[in-house]
Amino acid sequence: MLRLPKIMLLVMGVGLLLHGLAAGVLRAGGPALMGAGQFAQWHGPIMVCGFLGVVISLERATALKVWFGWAAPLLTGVGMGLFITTDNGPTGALMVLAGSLFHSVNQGLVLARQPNTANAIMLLGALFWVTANLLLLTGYTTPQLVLLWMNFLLFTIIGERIELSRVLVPNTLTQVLLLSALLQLLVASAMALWDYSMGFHIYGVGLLLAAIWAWQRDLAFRNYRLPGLSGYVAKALVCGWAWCLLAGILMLVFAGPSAGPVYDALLHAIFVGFIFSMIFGHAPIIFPGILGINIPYRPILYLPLGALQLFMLLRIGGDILAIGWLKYWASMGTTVIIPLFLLSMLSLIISAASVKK
Amino acid sequence: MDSIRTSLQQVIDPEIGINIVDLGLVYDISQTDNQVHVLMTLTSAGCPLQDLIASQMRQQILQDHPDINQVKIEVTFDPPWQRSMMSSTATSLLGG
Repeated sequence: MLRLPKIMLLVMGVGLLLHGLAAGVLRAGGPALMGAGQFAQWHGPIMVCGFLGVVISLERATALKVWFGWAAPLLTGVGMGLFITTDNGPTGALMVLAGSLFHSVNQGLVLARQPNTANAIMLLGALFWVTANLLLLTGYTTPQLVLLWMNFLLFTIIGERIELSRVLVPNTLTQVLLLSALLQLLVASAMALWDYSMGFHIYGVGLLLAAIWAWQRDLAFRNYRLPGLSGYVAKALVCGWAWCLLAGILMLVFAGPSAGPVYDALLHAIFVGFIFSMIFGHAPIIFPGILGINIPYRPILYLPLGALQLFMLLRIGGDILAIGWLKYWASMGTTVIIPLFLLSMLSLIISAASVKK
Repeated sequence: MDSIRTSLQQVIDPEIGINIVDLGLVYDISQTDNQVHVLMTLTSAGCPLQDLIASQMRQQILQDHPDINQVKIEVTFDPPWQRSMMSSTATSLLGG
């Protein structure tokens, strides 16, 4: 596929990210940016299905190189855009569902091309996304579905990390650990549809097991001392797994409410702490892969990564200790640092492109 | 072909931190006149870095070998990559 359409799909994903962040700002008590009053209630689905759905399916379509592969990010992005601009109409939601189905087909083709456990786990992740999107259409609420969306992201990331861990000596004990973690996550997400609190408790165990598995098997824990890009990526991933561990502990201890500060802490430890540490780490690798541009690594990327960790720790602290002003300002800090990170990536891309000329 | 292989040892997998030759990703290198053909694989079929790694390989070969004017990179997943394809250097770097 030509570079321009891929750039446009990526821009659409970033546009949805900005809308998702604007919705988050309003929900945290901040100003209504970008007309967020109309779509603030859909903050979570915009971030997961809109931004992450577009980026992950774009990443897979780039690798697959089949013409229909691009239907996944296109339908997902346009569908979510319609959903938030046309009074949450069913057309947009159906398009997002179709996008997730195409992503599952793509993931299935990757599995057929390279049959292994890692690709099977990523296909399962894609199917969790389809299931959540389908159940959303049938009236289930966001708190009931949030663990299914979490599984979409976790199974995708764990699958990708297993792929890389194939360079290490195989270890039966860690395979058992991983299987236990995945089963816990699967059972917990199903249980949350009926018993939300129990589902979250079990999910916490799954997250703890996943973090312990990563500690033993993820290459990041071996590479974080490396210099340059490899070391930066590894440190970001180690931060991400630390958030996974913390989220597991929080879910075990505090699971229960489906709203309020504790709920906010449980979800954001994973969706921001874990996921965005992974994004900050992978962006200097994935963006060049999608855009076909070599982006030079610069140590300045540690600044937004460090700021993200700091603001998230303050935010979770504000939530758990019920310190409203701390949670508010830390949330605003997190919201600002994400676009700033993207801007720093953009400046590296522009400087790389100008050097190329 | 050794000089081409040496050039490709400059291309590092950014996540693993080891070059693609020692990782065993380069299956075959052939040269006809001033054209080079590289048959390679990736550790993951879902990896979006395929084009980027190919571009870095092409750039490195052309830079190191002024006599070469065309580089063709072909990706295959048959046979699938296995750990045993790594060099002893990569194996020892990754803990045995």
